[in-house]
Amino acid sequence: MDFIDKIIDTTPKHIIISDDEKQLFEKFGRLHDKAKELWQPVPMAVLTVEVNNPGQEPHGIKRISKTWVRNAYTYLQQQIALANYADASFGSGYHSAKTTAGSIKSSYVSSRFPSTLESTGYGYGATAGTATRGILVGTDTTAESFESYALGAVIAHGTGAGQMSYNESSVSKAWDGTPNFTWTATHERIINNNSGGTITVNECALYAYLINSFTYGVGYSYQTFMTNRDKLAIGEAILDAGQLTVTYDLVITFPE
Amino acid sequence: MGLVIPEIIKPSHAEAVNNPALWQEFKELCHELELPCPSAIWRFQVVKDDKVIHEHTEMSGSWLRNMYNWITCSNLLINCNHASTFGAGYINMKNTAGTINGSTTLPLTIYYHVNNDSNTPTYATQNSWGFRAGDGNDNYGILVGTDDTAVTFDDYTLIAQVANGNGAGQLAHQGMNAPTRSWTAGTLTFNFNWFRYFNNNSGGDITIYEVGLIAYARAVSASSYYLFERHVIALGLEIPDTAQLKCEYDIPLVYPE
Repeated sequence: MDFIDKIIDTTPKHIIISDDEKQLFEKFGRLHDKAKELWQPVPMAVLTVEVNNPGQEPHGIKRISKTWVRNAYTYLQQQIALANYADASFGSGYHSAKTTAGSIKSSYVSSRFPSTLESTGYGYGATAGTATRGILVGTDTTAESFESYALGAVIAHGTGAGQMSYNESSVSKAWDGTPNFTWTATHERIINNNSGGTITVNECALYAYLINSFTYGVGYSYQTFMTNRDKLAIGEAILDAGQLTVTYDLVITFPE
Repeated sequence: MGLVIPEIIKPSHAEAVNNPALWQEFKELCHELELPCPSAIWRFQVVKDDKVIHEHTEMSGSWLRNMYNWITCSNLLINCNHASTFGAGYINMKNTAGTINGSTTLPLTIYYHVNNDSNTPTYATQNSWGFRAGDGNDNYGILVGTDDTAVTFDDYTLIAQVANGNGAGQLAHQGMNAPTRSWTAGTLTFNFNWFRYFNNNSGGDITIYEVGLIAYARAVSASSYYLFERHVIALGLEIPDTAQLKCEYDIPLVYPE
């Protein structure tokens, strides 16, 4: 089955893909075909948000994440060109990265992976209760910006007012062979609302935990970098005792 | 006579790479979908007696499975999935000697060193991790060869690599600088440029047909050399005796802003 047909046809009925999004998925499929012909590794991302509220039918949305931010671009180019970060400024014309705390990484590389990337301690993984990396959600309604380096208003972990309980993240990967030739990494996180009130989620993001710097005699230090931020068209109201599942499918198409 | 339905023939990869309309459509879709779409360009120049006797540019489009697997690991942030089988559906790398390095529990990596030592995580050190090979080093960096066999996605070595030296059929490989970076505001393009000089002091002419980009990388548990890109120069490139070849590799990426 065609790559895009498969994405759409395997989506549960209660997860809505709008007509506008279906048109984008069609273009996504054309890009997939061109990338395959030209041997160009284009990272694509699909976001799924599913809500399970008490007393309601499950519902949700699926869409293309068009929001790779500047960090993701510079990181990708670094991995291909094998070139260090080199600029003290962040923005147009600079090769650097900005952590979620707002500090600029101006040297070295982010691609020394000391151990598994499919754990809760590194990459896009996060342990239960960790609200500083992995898949995170927030309440801010500010439009997406290419320069974003953090969620506008991340929801803290907990069961107090305005807080949500972050579960341990999960990751799986799957190869789809002939004729699609795609690797898909599925990063997922379940987040519960036990706050006693309704919380409206307006934004979600991927935070990667990577090497940031090295100090002789001390070793490597790690920082968190946001690579995607998606502002939801319509905020998802998560009722008390409700559950939110956020999934990012990251895809790379191979020539064969 | 029955209806004859012509077979749909898929263009070869070389035809696709040399199709400007296809590149244009690819770039327009990338722009519309706001996705990062990398590309690469080879530029060649031959100088003899201080005169440029040849120069031309070709779209690359020949990143290989090693490179794809590296990009998949590092951007999807996932591990390898196999230690000993290389090919479709397997994430690992095959070195230029043909040995597969992979794992089911660890990711690929380029830079590697134990913690608390004096090595910083950098690609800028000559004769260390990445592409920056030193003077006379013909194990990695930009390398050239004389074979014109078409590129296949699973290539892992140049087929007839030209060795470093001044003997017959050899080229003197110069050390590589760290890549230069440049920003073109008009096209919103950030570019990295790697280059390498090769001097022909062999006493005879040498014709180059293949050029490759090889990384020195850790992969999983073995430090070795990995072919990321192999490109065939269709018409060949003659390097007369006493001439100098410059191979440049541009890696541009168009940003949204």
